[in-house]
Amino acid sequence: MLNSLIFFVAGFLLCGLLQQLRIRKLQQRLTGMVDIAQAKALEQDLQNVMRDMQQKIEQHELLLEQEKLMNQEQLSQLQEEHEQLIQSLSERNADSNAVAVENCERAADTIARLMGLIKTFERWHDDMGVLIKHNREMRVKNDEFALIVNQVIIVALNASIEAARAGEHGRGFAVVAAEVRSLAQRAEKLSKSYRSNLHESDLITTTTFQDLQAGGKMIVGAVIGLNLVNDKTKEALTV
Amino acid sequence: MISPHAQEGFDLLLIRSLKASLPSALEHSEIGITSDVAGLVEQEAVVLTVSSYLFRLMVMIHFKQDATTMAYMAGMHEAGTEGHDKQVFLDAIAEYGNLFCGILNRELGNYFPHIGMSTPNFLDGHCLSYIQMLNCSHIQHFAVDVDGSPLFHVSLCVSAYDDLDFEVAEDEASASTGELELF
Repeated sequence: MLNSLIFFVAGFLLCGLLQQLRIRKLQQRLTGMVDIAQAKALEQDLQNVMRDMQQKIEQHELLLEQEKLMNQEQLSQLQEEHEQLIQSLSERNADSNAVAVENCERAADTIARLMGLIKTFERWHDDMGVLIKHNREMRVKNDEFALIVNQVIIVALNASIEAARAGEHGRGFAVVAAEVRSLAQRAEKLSKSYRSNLHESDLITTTTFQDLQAGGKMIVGAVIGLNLVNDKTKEALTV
Repeated sequence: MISPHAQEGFDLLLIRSLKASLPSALEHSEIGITSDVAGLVEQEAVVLTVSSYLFRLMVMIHFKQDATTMAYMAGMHEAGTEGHDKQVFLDAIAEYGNLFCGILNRELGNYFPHIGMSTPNFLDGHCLSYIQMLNCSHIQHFAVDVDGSPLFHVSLCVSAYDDLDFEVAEDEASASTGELELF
């Protein structure tokens, strides 16, 4: 009986102890849990914040929509302005193009007339040919003159010999022969000088003429080059 | 007014043009600079000019009218060797001058884009004595030798109207045929 009682008391105490432990654990769990009222307040705050946010988003959307409309308006205005500008530029470009093409045509016309320079060079060529021929004829005549002068010198020498043979009677004739010889020698000197002058004249005339001719070809070459550039410019403008 | 390089360049281009213009019968000829020009006044010369706004270049080809020259000149242009008509010979010389100067004109065109060339004219050899009257800045005489004796001579006379300076590179062809010879 006593044992039963002891067992009962012991069992009772053990159960009480276990219950005490459980209560402590539950207390601990309860302290970890949020207060419902606080949670509700928090939920309320959250809903308020969300509402505010929603309102702000809606306001932003409204603002954005307004800005979008404004931007669209500005964009269409800009597009219109650009189109007008492009139109004006394209008109101006067309005008400039037309002026450039017209200038090209004028340049081509001037170049075509400049090519007439060739005729001028041909004329110079003919004139210079005549001058060279004339120089050559003068040289031939001078050579003939030199031959005559040589002959006169020989004749004067012979006359001097004959005058010497005639003795006293030939003294006057000897003076004349000496004078003729002196004149012939002067003529010979003059003829040689003239010959040199003709050579100089030939050289200067020929080289000057050739310089003109070659310079003319240089100019014609440059004009042809100019014409090619002008043609290419016109072609580029009209494409 | 003409720099030493440019003077050398004119000489090299002239020699190159002479080499290019000579026919195959004269391919073994020697071209060199010479100062022995005393006898040239007795020969006739064909004259050509290459002009630019910077300079005037004149070449005189001095030639004898003997059988050897006539044969070579006729051979140069595949003309008949019979008759040796003087006019045919002169035409052949003028044609050769045109060919030679045409090559020189083309060579010079690599350095001077705007140049032009004249047609040939004949001058008495005595005109060479007055060449200084042309205000030349550079004069050089060249001899084209065949079998040890000169076949014909070429005088180069450049009058410059501005400072000229350019350099001509010796090409492989001229390098392989040797250096300039001085007589």
